Amino acid sequence: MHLSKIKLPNLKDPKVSLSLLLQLSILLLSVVYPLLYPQQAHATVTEGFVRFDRLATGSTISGTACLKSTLTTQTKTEIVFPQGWTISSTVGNWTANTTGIVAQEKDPVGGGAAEAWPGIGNASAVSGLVVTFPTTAFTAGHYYCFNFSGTAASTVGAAGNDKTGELKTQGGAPYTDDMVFATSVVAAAADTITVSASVSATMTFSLNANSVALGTLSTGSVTSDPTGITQTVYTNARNGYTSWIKGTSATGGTGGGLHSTNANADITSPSSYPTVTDLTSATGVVIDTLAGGTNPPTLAAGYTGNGSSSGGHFDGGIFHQTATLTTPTGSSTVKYTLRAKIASTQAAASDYSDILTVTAAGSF
Amino acid sequence: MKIKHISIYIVIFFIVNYLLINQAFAGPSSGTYELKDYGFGSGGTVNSTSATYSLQGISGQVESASLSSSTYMMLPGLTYTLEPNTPPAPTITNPSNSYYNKLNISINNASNSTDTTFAIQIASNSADFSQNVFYVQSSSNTLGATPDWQTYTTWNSGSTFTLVGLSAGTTYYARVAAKRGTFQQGRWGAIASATTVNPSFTLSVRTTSQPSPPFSVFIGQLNAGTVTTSSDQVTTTITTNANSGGLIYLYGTNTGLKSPTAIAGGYTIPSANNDLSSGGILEGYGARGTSTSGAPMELLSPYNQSGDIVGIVDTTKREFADSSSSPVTGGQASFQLKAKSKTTTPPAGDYTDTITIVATGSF
Repeated sequence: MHLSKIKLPNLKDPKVSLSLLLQLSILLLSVVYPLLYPQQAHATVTEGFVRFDRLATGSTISGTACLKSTLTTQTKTEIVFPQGWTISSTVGNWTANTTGIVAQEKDPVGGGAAEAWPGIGNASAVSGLVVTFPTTAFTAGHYYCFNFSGTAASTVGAAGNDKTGELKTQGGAPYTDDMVFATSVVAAAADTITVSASVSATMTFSLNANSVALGTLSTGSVTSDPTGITQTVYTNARNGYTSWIKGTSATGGTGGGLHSTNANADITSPSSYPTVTDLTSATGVVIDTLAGGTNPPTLAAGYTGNGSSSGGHFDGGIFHQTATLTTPTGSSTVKYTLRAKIASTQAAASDYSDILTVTAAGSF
Repeated sequence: MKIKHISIYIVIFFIVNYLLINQAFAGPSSGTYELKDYGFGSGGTVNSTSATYSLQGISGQVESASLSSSTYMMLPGLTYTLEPNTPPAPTITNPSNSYYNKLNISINNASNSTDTTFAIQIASNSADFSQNVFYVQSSSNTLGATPDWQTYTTWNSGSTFTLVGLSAGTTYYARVAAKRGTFQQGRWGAIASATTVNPSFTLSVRTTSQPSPPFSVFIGQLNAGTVTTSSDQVTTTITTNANSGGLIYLYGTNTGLKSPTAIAGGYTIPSANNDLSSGGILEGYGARGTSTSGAPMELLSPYNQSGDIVGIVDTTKREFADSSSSPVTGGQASFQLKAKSKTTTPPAGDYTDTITIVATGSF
């Protein structure tokens, strides 16, 4: 065969040129096609989940996504929400962060603490059911999480089981990590339980003793009950409590004091409520108070003595306030100390006595 | 040039090529028969052996083309004699029809010698292997783009191993080829297939006395210093084929049981991880897991304690039970709610919290 006999096509002929161009195009396409659509890589996701904060239909979409991968080339993350869910197409409605991830999330396999999803930020694109977030490269085998949130414009779809979606990361095209997940959507409010309890009003009142013996009274010094009687109040009344005291004997009018039946005489309580009397320069019987407990009350001025010789007036048949507390109390005490001093003309008798009544009420 | 002329040219181009190819490979024929394949030979030797070598040989042979029907294929000639035995279809399965991203597979060595290597070819959703063709990679049991020729031992000696990284809801077709030496690859064997399912997850919630929502649990009238336990339990049930199992979380709307009316600004009986029966804990509120059913289900700390030891219920989602990193069917976990007031806990009838249950599968 001689080359001179080979008939070369006339490239100046438009038909021939177009024919060659067409054949070359077909050849080029057949070579390049596989490169345009490379086969999907596999098995880079080790584990992961997408956990929604609410699983009731109609709830606003938010949640946490976690993933462990062997890939280290991530540049984007996509969440593909289940079919039928309402996804806001406004990019600005989708936010992402890693708040609380390290402290609260852990790898379900192995239990190690989760790490903040590298480079995660607010959404960069929304298309249909797909929301895209920026991401930077993972370290292989690390467990990463991030929180995502839509606004009220994005809501969970109808109730049903096996609602599938995808969590994908991209390290090139197409997406190279693809974890398909399933979730369950329950009826409205079927994911919540209302818990209730009640606390009733309470009040506890007690006196640690019910008798006081002052002994033989003196004209030259003040005699005080050495131990006193302590009132203790417990109450959960939101405004606390108030306590009062009254005598029984009426020594003329309402005046209280100690009465002797045998001598038919009285040792009166001097002055009147709320005046405090110092018995170093007076005679009679008075009541001094001292606050204590975990929640000491405020003592009434009329019974706030000096702790040694003074005290307040009490009346027979009339309650006078001794203390008050404006908050609930676990233990609030008032110690009552009786003090007495007699005049030189006081009739002698061994039966001077009175009955004091102490009461308290909670302010609920 | 008009489009019609281009089309005509293309048709003529392919017809000419077709005729040329058939002409080049057609065998001698008469009006009735055609000799599809033929060769010429003049004897040879069969099984000439020494202590070290053996020889099988012919002078001339049938060409390497073969005759086949839909069921059988004839492999004549020395070329095929030297090829390894073609492995039968591998066994590829989806146990319990629960795998969504993996399948089990095992191969048969077809009585080939131990130095024979095998490659496993996989096609997804392509029964004729015309597209989406991959090869099992022995280092990771994943699919890759290039054949991985490994010995029968490396392919687990015929025992089952698990292909991972597959796609959900996809049918995978598998076949095996053997190779003996560098240039003696046999043909791909028969095809087997299995299909991955889609991932699944179901959740349901109920209380002892309420099978359907709305759910409410009344702990009761709280008495100072006494732990009160709800008579109703909350039971959560999950089913999932997630590889790493199901996870159940709870969280509240408050940091405890809150009454908006007890005092100005409201009062909250706080929740914490506590033993409410301890004298040092004057008041508190929390949840205590009570039971599980479904083998892999387990209660998690701090909700897995006994007596009046409770786990915190606050606004943070806290995992209280899981399925031990395994798929589960009908796995249940239940919890009760407990509370204790102190003498100064303000009285009110509206101490409440709303607990939300969330669950997910770790796929």
